[in-house]
Amino acid sequence: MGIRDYFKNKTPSRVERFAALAEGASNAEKRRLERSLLKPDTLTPFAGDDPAQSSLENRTVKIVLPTDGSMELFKQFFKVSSYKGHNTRNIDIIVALLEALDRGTIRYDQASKTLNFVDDQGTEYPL
Amino acid sequence: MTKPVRRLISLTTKEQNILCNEEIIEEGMKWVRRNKGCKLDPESGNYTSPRISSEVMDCSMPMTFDHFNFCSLGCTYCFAYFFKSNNPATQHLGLRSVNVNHMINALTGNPSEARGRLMYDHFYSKKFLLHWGGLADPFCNFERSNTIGYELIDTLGQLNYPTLFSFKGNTILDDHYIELFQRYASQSNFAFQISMVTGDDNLAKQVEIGVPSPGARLRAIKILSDMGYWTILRLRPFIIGVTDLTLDTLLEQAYEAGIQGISTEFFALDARANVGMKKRYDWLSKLIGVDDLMGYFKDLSPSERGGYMRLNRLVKEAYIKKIYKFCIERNLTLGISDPDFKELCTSGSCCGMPDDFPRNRLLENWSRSQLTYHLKRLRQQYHRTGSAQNLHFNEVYDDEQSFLDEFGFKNDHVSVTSMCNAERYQQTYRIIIQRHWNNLKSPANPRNYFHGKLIPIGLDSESNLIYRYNPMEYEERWVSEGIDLTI
Repeated sequence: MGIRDYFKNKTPSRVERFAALAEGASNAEKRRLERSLLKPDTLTPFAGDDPAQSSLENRTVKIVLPTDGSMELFKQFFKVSSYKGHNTRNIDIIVALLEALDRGTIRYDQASKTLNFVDDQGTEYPL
Repeated sequence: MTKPVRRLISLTTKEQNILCNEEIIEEGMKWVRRNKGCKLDPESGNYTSPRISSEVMDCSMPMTFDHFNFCSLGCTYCFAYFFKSNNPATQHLGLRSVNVNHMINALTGNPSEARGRLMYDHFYSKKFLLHWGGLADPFCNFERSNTIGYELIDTLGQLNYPTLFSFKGNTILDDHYIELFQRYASQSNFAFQISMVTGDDNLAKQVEIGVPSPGARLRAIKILSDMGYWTILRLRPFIIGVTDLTLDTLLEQAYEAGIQGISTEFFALDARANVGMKKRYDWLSKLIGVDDLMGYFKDLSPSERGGYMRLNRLVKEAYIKKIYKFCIERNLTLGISDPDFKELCTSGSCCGMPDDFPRNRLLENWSRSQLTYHLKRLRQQYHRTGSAQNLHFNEVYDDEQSFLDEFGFKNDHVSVTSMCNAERYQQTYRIIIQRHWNNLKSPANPRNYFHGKLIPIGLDSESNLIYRYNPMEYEERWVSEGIDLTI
């Protein structure tokens, strides 16, 4: 047993010191002693990697539209709530578009900034 | 005051006016006064209950039920009073009750509305334990005056439906309720938590306005225990400066009356006190021996737990030790609903419900998918094997409880009130819990809530935090004193 263990074993804990001092004390005196001796410790910060908050945050994106006009167009097709900022979960059309893009049924042409329909033979037709 | 309120106050002892000032009595009778008595207006509309508790992370009975929206008892420490008096939606409401027919239809598998279908699918069909008495007393004067609950209790008995009542009102001692519970005593599907904060009648009158005396409550324990029901002393809230003054006597008296379990949780203070709460806090300050109750709680409560101040484990240790030893020596089930010392529960339910109840296995039908169950398990494991174990999110919140993934319950959780609509519609309890689990700034995070009893050690394969059981100094000290922590 080292010197630190010796002192650790001989030093009463804060709870024990409080109990000895509070023996027979009035309510008011006990409350005073609690505030003096029994304040809580602070927790050690966690230094590890940041966890994912929840699976929902991983599925949430912020979209910034380029013009007021495009915002009005967006609101026409998607039910946008204004409760606590503009937000919507009614994005079935977007999901359908994404799935069609993924299948190859439609293709976005970067040069002309238009969407084209792609038939079974791979021929593209402007939508 | 109107006539009905005067009559109610005159039913308490004449000493009430000497011990408490008129202001506190008026405060305690707030809901009765607003309703102009105890009678229910049939046109007042329905009250929605059960609901799913927001404290689901460590709660064994997330389905909590009240059949009235208010309670006629005036406990100065009532946390439900705080929530309701701060809720703008309740400011102009009178007394309302659940629609008993709708509830009976849902319980029997014939729900008449969508909410009933949800409750049946996730709870009633599995005979999940119903906790009756979350934010109001099931046997207060509102029940005596209206007998709304009587038919429902009878139905629950006929269905052998497991139900835990938390109460202190004495309507249960009226003859027809005694006869009702006697009728179902042989099947033991009911269990009872009787709430007490002191064994001293005079002190009780000062903190509990219009509430039956501790003696009357001990009588209720004896009557129900003698019927063979599982009875629990609900020592909640444990008010330091009040409850401790008669703790030894109260424990012995409750044991003599026949309790099989004790559940305790310490009095907590919310930093957001309204005018009514401040009057109550000023009154309680006088009783517990401080000038400034808010200052006392701020000084002694960890900041990591946020604005709902619960003091800390150093302040509570002596009382918990006494209660723990009392339970171990008498083979009583101990439930600690407080975040401090929750690891010392001897049941996985901090309400003191049994892990093992051969008389009626349905009373074991509460959730193990929560932190009370796992904290107890980790504590036992550490003291039996010497090894501190880890805890994973998917291990605690497994697939046992289907309600965790039900979108239909999203509006039950208090946290959704701050969300935009798009987020709110995607919430489930599992997502909400996961967010707290991983957010080390959240007061509900396991490290913060249990103040270091579980410490994060890294991430799992799904990027959720892993927690480890953290043995504390008090455990070494208690073991060296011969206290068994393996139970």
